[in-house]
Amino acid sequence: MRTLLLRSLRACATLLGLVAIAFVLLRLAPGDPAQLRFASDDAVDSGAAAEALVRFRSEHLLDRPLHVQFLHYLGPFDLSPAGHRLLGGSGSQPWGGLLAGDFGREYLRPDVEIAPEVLRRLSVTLPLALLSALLAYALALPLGVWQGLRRSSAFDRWSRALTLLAYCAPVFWVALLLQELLGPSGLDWLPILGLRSRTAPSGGWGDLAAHAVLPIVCLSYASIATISRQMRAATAEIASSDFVLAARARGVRERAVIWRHIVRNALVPATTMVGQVLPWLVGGSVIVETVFEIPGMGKYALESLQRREYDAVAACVIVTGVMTLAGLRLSDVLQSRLDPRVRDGAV
Amino acid sequence: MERFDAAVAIPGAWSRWRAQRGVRFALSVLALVISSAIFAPFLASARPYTLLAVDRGAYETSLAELEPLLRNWNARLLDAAAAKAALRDDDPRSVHAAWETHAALLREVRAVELRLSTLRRYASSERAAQVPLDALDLRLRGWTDKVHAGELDDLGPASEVVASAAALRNSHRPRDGSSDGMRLRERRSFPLLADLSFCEWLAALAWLAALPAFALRARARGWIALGVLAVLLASLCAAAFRAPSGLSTREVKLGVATGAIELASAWYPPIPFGPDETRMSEAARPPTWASAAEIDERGGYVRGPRAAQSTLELVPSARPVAVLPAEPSLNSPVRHLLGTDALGRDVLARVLWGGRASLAVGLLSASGVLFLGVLVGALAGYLRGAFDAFARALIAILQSFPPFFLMVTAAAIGAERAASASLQPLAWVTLVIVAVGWTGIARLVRAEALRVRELDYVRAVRALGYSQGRIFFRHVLPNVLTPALAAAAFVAISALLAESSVSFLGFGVRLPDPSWGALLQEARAGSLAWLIAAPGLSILVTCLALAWLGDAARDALDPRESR
Repeated sequence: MRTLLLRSLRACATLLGLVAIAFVLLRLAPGDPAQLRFASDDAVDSGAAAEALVRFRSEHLLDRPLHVQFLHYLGPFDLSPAGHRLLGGSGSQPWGGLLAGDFGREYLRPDVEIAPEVLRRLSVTLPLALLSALLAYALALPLGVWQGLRRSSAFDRWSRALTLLAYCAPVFWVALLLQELLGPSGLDWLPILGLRSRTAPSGGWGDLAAHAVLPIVCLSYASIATISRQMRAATAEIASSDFVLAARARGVRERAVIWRHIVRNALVPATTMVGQVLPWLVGGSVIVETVFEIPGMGKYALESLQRREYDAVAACVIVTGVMTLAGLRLSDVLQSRLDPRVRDGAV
Repeated sequence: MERFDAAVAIPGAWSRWRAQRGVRFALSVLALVISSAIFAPFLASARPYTLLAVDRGAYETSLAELEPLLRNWNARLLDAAAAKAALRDDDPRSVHAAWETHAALLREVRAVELRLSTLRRYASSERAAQVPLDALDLRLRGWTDKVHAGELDDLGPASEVVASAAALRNSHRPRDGSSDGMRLRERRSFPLLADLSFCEWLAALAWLAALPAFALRARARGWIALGVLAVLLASLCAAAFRAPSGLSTREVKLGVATGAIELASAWYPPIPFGPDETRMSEAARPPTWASAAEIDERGGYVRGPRAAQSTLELVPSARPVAVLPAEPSLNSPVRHLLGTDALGRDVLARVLWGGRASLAVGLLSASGVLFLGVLVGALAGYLRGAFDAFARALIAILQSFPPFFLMVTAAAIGAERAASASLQPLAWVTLVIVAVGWTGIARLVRAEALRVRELDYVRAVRALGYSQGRIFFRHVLPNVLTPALAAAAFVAISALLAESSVSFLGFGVRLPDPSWGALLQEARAGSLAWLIAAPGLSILVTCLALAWLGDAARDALDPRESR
């Protein structure tokens, strides 16, 4: 119970730090939201526009000290003049900020709320990332075990060279090459842009699957390389350990040795990767979604960076951070399932 | 006593590392890539190494401009004298005016001196030719001294000087075809070498010094290699954090082609194209060894229209292609070995120059990550307490982001602030990669330091009463380096990939400066197939060599794991 409390406290502190970093990034950006909001207006110097700018500043607390701005950004209380009555506001808009699920609006398109937009984009990115993670694990775990069991065989050498190649090949280059090779200018096997055909916007699952093949391959191949390398090292180390030797000496069947003694133990380090693979995939989605023009969160983040929608950028940073924390937590749970020492708190 | 002695173990690992299969090959590949980046200006440039020529265009312009400049100078002189007369100490405006006219005066002097030096350089060495120039020069020098001293009143009659400059225009007219005039001298110059910055010289010389050191069979070799690496990193650092030297242009080649430069001899680099030498008439040309690249005299492709090469870009219309001096002939297979991009720039030259930015950022940020990670990790593990708690919290927070995502965001958002603080985009990207990437190494090293600080020999030196600093630097730090060394190559790979990815997205090295990632961004925008292969292959080969070395280092440092 106490460890649980401590852990959740620590998680809260980390979350706070995460938001703080996002906030610092926001403040690093050139100009402030008010200037960005009215950047498109031609007559910034005229009286009305200047007045609107001042009003926007005071409504969004941009004229207040930095810590007040941070608390306002964090929520859940809205600290602006229209904020909660307990804090001296008029009470017309009591809640606001991140903790109230409010990520603000885009500067140049004030009718677009950021939170639902990010959710909408996530519904594209997350399935892609999860499918890629599944594919990566489905391929990399058997590959790594196989390599680790047959060290120094021809298969091991060649497949290791291949995974090294995959580890070193930059994603955007592979994506461009695949587009060039399999797209309309090459073999014309697969569609290379978007998730749906322009000609048949409601083209069913087959169309969607054909569009998703290349992005999923590009997202997953680097993780396959990393996971299989780790799995090979773990398998090799355990396969040459004393308890495996002892099991074999006791006459345990070879299949049982491999499955129960080697694979199960080698899976423990691989589960620590679960927490890292998801963030890699989300980071990689920035590139993959840009190259393949998929309207996911990575592309949204990049577009926001290019359009200087820094509030949207900060929202993406925070969302991916929370997802990463969730991934780390998941790998903790998995590990304690697989490794009784972790479960009992011995390690 | 269980003692891991770095002084013994690391050289042992070094020889084990060297003995492994493929390490020598990977080292040579890496050396080749780094050499090609360092010597890129010597390999691909539009400027010749040496040039023996008369710059007739410059001579004629100088001759024509000398007299008007002197007239102008005379007018400025009167202004300055007037401003000096009106100067009152209590009137800031008059002080400012006097200062302005003085500065203008000095600018004019410099302009005149430049023209005069060009004339002296190329004018015939006969006495009759040089004497009037010398006299003018002497006169000018006397004036400049007086202007510097602020004695504007007794400069003597200026009209006389203007008249003598006017006379020069007749007496020093260059010989033109058969007509009589002055024979100009050919002079030697070094356009390419003059273009190199101090940092580039330093890096090139350090690298040259390193090559024989690798061939030596001496114990000192390791130290020499380390020293060279340090000089290299320092010059890279200096190069990344200062303004870039201007990329070379094709002025020499154009001058020769138009006849403004009368050439005696010139020695060009093997690839006589600069990385930013645009030529629209030859835009979007496939590699010239391919039959699809053949061009006829009118500028059209022999096999089919030019439009077939590109789908998205504007279709380059057929235009006669000018072949400048020193360039391979129009349909020579080596003219553009890797083709040209949408602006007609030579891709091979751009890939060679692009390696400079990519490798500089990759190597610099990798060493930054290693330095920061080892320092913070070792201190946190050794000191424990508040510093450890702080470092752990920081690491936990930084690791709760997808690292690449954070890098892109920080690189993009901070770029303008960094530019206004006169940081180069390169330097900013390096800082971002270091700031985001140090946590992994720090965690590894911290765990090792936690283990080492409880070992017997550390307890022993503590019992002996050695100072904290001595224990840390002499006994703990060398012994926690192992995990960092084992991971060093992979840190370099991820830094290299991060830089190229950030540049690919358009937030790193800004176009038109080439870097491998930025080149791929251009390739994507132009959808020209032959632009894709070379930059990506360069990244891949560099990373593969590093990964091979890293795997070997991991095995060598950890004798337990047999291959």
